[in-house]
Amino acid sequence: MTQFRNDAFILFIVALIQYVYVMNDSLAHSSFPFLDGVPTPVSYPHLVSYLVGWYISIAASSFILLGHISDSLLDYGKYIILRGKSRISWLMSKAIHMWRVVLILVFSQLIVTTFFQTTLDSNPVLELTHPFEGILFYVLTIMAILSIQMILELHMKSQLAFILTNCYVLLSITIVEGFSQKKVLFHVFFPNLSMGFRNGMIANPTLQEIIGPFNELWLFLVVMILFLLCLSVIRIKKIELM
Amino acid sequence: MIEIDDLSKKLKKSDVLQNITYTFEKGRIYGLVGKNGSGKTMLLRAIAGLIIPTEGSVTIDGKVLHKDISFPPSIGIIIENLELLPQFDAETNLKILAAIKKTASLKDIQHAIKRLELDRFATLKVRKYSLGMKQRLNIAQAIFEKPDIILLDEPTNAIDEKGVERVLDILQEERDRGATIIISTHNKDDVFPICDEIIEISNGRLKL
Ligand SMILES: Nc1ncnc2c1ncn2[C@@H]1O[C@H](COP(=O)(O)OP(=O)(O)O)[C@@H](O)[C@H]1O
Ligand SMILES: [Mg+2]
Repeated sequence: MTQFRNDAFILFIVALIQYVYVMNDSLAHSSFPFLDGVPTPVSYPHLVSYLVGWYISIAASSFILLGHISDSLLDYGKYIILRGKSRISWLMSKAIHMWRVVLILVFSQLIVTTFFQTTLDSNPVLELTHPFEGILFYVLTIMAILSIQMILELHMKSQLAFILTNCYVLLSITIVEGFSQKKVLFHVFFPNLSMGFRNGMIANPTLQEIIGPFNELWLFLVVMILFLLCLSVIRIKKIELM
Repeated sequence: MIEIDDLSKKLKKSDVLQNITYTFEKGRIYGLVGKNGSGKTMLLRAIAGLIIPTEGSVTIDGKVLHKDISFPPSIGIIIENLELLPQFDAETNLKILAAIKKTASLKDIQHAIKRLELDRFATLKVRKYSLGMKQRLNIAQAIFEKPDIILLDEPTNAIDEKGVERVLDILQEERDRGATIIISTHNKDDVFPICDEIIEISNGRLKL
């Protein structure tokens, strides 16, 4: 129950930030502001506000899942894992829980931002040309980020895994200047792919990058998630539960 | 049946288990006796599938651990000082665990709690338990699903004399049902009366 209260509190904070974001008239946003991300020119005004508006949900999902893997391999978790069918089925149930967290988070943001914008009549100024693809990219990117956290948690303390994952995310979205010359860097630093400003889901040529064909990009993210899951499966079979 | 074949475990270059070969039969109670640091906990971990052998294998009813199966399919265990969830009472704790395998009914849970004489504290949260009560609940946790294999790592720690007698009675009933029971202890007098066999371990080797 305390876990549930924590998660509800985190969702509340996320909603609050979305509210501030939607209401701030100086921030250009689309109809689903959490999909927008950060405009590429680093000199763009209000960069930090954009960054916070995007990052808060990523950090929230990462935080909700902090220790989800490594802490449950210790102590009490052994009572659970020993009752399961196998190490792999245990890992799969953890992965399914990750999907659940991500989908709940994204769904609540969809509802919250729609609600704010219809009741508070703050009109989006940017046109979101592909809302469905935007959401798909967003979900897949968060899932890939959390998969990194998962494999890291299988190798180190949960706090360290959390910090490394979040540093990677922040690094990825802040060093993006000049990436348009070398598009492969968007794949290496894939958190960029979740952003409407960077994946081409927002119709505004001055603010966005065109990274590549949609199909190729979402397939890349799916492969990434599956690859990280495979690494985690290999690891869980060898891990010592002491 | 648990067959251990030439099992060795190295941790950071030190040999914690060395060339252990032994067969544990159904319906018997084994006492695993050794000093602190002799490898009792490590051997129980190996049987439970919690650690990966450096060499050799553990086979449970013909299935090799880490090859055919990850863990023994039906096992109850107390290891080190694992604790249950402090924010819940005994019954809720066991219900949470029972939800995973779904083999134990509410009656089984209540029966196990009664057998360990914890029914008097039905509404008490585990947070407020004494050490001995926690250990009793741990034992209830290990037996309530009627597992084929029961591994108990120093189970009589912190339990009073009368409680120990109760626990030994319960373990004999579990043996008669057909369970394989291994009890580790640094003091063999505690469990000696009920053991069908005593195995001594020292420096990671069995003294046979
Ligand atoms: N995580 C570990 N890394 C290295 N050595 C360990 C670890 N845990 C235990 N050991 C060593 O393994 C040996 C056996 O430990 P253990 O099985 O816990 O002993 P017992 O349960 O008989 O007291 C000890 O010598 C201990 O120092
Ligand atoms: Mg020990």
